[in-house]
Amino acid sequence: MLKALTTAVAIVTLAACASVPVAPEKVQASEQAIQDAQAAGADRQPSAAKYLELAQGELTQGKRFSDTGEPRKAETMLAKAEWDAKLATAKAKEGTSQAEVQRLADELQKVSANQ
Amino acid sequence: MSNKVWKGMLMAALAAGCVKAPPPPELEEARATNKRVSAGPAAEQNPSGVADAKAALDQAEQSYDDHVYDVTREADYYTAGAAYVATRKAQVAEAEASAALAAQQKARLQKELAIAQSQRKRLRVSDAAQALSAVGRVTEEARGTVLTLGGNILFASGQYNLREDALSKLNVVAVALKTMTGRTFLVEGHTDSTGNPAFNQQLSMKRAGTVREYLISKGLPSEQVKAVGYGKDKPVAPNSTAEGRAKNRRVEIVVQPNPS
Repeated sequence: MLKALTTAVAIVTLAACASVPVAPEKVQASEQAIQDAQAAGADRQPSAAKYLELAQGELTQGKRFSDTGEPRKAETMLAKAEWDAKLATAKAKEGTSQAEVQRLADELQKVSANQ
Repeated sequence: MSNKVWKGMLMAALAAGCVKAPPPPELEEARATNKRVSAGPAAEQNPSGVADAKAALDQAEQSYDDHVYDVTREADYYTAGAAYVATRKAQVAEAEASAALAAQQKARLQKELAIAQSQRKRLRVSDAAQALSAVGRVTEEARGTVLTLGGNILFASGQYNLREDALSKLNVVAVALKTMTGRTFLVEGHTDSTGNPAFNQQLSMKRAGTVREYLISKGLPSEQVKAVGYGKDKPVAPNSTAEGRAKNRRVEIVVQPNPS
């Protein structure tokens, strides 16, 4: 009985430890989010750039976890990468809009002052 | 008591289910961020983003509850990761809401700016017309705003060189016209009917040309100033009286209306 149980535990453990690669779409989702952030100009705005950098580091780490057979850690890391990148995108867009508002406000003030 | 013993007791207590492991800092941050964002403008601007963030927080809370007695590092790692994502989702909802507000403000400012710009333009044109009326007679006609300058103000009889005291008047004209950016100006020379028509035609053309050259020398773009001589052909008063003839000897500067 004990022997059977030990064998069962061993099999389950082996199955868990066997290198299960992380789903490729999870890697792709993170990579896509990073590309989107770059396209939104996240690397040119300090408020966004720090999240883009975090995302890039996490993507590397996530891939490493996947390679070393730790899919759960890999998925967690890839999800962090994806959402850091998405925050970088949102911050970049926010920054762009706010800069545009500032420019218009300045122009309006100039036009009104000249009257 | 040694550290090891304390740790052993804590583990035992956790195993017994009487002490809850403290939440990971990521979960505490996720709770605080979620609370802040749901209370902010994102609640109205971006309800779906806020709802997504709340769902992610619930998932992290669930993970924390499920593994609350399980202090293996893997489970903690997962809970912390889920909480991290929940924080980011809330921040994304917040940033998106703020961008949406900025876009609304931008549209408002664009409208205000357009109004202010057209007001300024109108003001500028009326300022210019006022400046011109100090120099000559200004009338609004179908062909545009017309400034009429009496011929003997600008030129001596039969001459087409500008008189000394005409210069200061034309300087005022140049300054006023320069504010009317993008307009075309037509300088017209007119004479009375006395004398040789061909000579009058030549004289009116030369006078208009002289005025045009002077305005260009004062900074008006040459392609925007045209000159034409009409001789005696377009009288504004009868040539039978001295007074009428004086009115007919004139230079008109027409500010042509915008083609738009």
